[in-house]
Amino acid sequence: MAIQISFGGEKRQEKPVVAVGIDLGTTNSLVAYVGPDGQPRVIAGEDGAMVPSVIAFDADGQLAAVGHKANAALLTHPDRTIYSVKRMMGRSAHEIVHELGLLPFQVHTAPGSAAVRIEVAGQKLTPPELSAYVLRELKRRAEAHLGQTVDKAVITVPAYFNDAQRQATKDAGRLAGLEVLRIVNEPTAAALAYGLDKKPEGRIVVYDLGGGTFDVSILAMHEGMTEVLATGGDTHLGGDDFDRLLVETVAAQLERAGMSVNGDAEKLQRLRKACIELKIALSAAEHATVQAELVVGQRMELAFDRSDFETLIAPLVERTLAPCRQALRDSGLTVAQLDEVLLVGGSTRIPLVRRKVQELFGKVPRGDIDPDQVVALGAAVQADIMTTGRRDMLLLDVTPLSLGMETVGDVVVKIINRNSSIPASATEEFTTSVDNQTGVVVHVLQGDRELVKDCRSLAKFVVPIEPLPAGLARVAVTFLIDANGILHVTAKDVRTGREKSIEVKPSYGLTDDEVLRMLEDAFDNAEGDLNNRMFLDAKNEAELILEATKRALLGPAGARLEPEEREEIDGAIAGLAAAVRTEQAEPVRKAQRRLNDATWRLAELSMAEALNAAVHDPQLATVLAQAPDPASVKPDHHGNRIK
Amino acid sequence: MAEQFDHPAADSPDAPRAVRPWVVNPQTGAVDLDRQPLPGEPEPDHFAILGLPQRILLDADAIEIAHRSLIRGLHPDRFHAQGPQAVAKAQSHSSRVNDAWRGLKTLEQRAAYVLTLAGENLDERYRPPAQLLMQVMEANEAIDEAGNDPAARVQLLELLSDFQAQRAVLTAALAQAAASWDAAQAAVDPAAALTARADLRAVLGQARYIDNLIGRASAALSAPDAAYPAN
Repeated sequence: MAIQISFGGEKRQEKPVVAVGIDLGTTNSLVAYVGPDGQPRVIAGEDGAMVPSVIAFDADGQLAAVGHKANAALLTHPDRTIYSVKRMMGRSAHEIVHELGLLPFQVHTAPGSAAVRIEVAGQKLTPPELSAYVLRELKRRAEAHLGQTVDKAVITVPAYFNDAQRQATKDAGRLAGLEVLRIVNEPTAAALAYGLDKKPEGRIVVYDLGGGTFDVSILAMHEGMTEVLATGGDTHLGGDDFDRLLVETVAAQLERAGMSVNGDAEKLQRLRKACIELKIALSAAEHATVQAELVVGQRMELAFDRSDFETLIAPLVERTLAPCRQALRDSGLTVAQLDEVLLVGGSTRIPLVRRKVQELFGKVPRGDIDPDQVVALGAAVQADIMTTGRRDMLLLDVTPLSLGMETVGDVVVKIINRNSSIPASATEEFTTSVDNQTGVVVHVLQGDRELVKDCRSLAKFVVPIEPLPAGLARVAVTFLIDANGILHVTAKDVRTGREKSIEVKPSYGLTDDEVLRMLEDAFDNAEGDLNNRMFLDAKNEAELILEATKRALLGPAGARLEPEEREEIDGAIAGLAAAVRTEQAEPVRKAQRRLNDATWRLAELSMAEALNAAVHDPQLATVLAQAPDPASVKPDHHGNRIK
Repeated sequence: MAEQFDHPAADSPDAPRAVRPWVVNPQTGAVDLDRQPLPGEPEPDHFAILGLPQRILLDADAIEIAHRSLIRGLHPDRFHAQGPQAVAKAQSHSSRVNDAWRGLKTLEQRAAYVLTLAGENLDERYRPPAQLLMQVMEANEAIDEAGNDPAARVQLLELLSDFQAQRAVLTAALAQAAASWDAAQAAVDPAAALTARADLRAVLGQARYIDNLIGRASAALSAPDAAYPAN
């Protein structure tokens, strides 16, 4: 309306909802989004784009810091600082104890729950709850950068993650207040970001060696479709393992020199930090030296040769090649049919890794992508695809592991093979072997080995069957792996066609009820989140009003104000600007009301000006003739006038 | 799309069905997945779901194109904005399209699938002829020894190349049997279909047996730690 044009400036623009992409890494995490120009960007904080996936608690068990600050706390309070949570996601207590080895954490299991809890600073938290702290930090960072709430995300996982690990990641997202649009495989996300830029048509292989996991995927890209042909990997192999080897080697040398670090968590952390620096330096130089301070005030020099480091890690690097060969076989392609090799993950900066990959695939890997950022960028692209509908792109991924069922003799019979495009499903029919049997127990497993003990138990459930003579009742159970790689089970009575409900209890991780309970608990603590959200809304509104007021003051109406009126408005403007800096919603609302009151006459004068102008503008006059009484569009006392 | 779905041919000489009952989308030629089959009505087969004629000999590109064009429209990522119900439906539809595609990728798969549709039970064990059985025993021994006995490796390599030669003969035989089957179906000739069916069954059984042998022999030859028993 004309009045609003003259006073309020352009209509308030509702900011489109932005869904972000998150690379939730073992060592570092990143968040990215796609801007209005369609380009994905990583969101950087004051301390860079990477947020170390480290969480520090204070002595009372309250969250102290996430990211760089928590990383620093690793040295001062290693007992209350937790890292590499990703390695614990969807794992059993046994696996975690086995894997954590050196770490000073107690692992608990509670009767009646398949979830594992880590004791840290007197609290017992599940891995999804711990990961949620990192996700919340990324969410906060994105909201601060974008100036709006962010509650939708695509989160990446290693392609070789199993059902339980994917489900745990999804749970972490929910606990952090994010709707997880999709779980995307890291190498696939990398290919998506790469494809957006380079528009390749052909087959590419993505070799992704991160902090804690290794993945390899072979993909075909054509006409906006990114189709995964085969994938393979090792969820237990990454840069952390190189660090550990280096720490062990240096610790043994120190031991021989009479400086034991064994059993001392703080010294071990300081040594680990120095060894990571050493590893990074060795990617650029043949020989590297770093300063270490294992005991405060006692500086020492650690030196290492690249060739010794390569000898140390060669068996681990070699271990990545078998999954590469397997994926190639599964894809049905030969090395000669591959068009590009992409390297993803910080560990691919190691020269030995590059050499081995080049040897295997017979191609020089692409050097024009940032191996640390490309996964987050790809996740942002997928979020954009799913929420804006402006891209004709589609990601067709595969399930990394075969899905099977236990049968007689502890043998697993496969129902969906690995590398099947997802969503994928299979239907199995069950009947009874004795009269009046009321159920059949189904044990679902994931893995490619023959025996139950070598596969990963996903869930056990009972298929309910009506009591009838043996063999008469028939129930069809459908196993569906969704686009996230997560299993869903439904059952149907074959004779009646009726759906049957079955309760599937996961073997590892949280049940849906447990996640809901945690969310309810979190709701009590959600005041902070809510405040933040209300502040962001208030801030947006305040900025628009400030701008509109300043513009009106510059116009003819502004010139006609009495000096004291002008003074009052200037005071209110300064007050609102100051209120915005408090980052609290309530002061902003208050200051906004004051400005509204102060601009009462300015608004009237502006309207008069507009009416005056309309008299001289026949086009505008007709518009005004249809406009409501100017008084009714006066600013109300909630600052909502320009909605 | 390679061809419209217009085959009135019977699926099986035993239980001929005059017309396949599924409702077809005229644009894609594929079956309408929204329609729930009535009780007792057969579920649409893989060919119908992809809108392909029910033949063993199909152009690999035609299968890819059929799958790609269908999945583009059905993938759940496309339905996110429309809410969880739309996503669930897309999940179910797209999984069926993927399942059909996965089941028809190779000529062997299509041959096995048409036989299954015709009521064959392919799980029955194949009994190899005596001469092949001798080779299999030799191969098993060589596979066990390949890790630490160079002579066994040489012998295994020879056996492997012989198996591969046998496999090539079977591939040609399978293509021929497939062509006879397709022709018999098109001509609605039950007698010819029966002969083709027996041929297909025999060739498929042998091919699977040999494939298994080739797989095990290659694995034994390429495994760097073949000397150690797999655990």
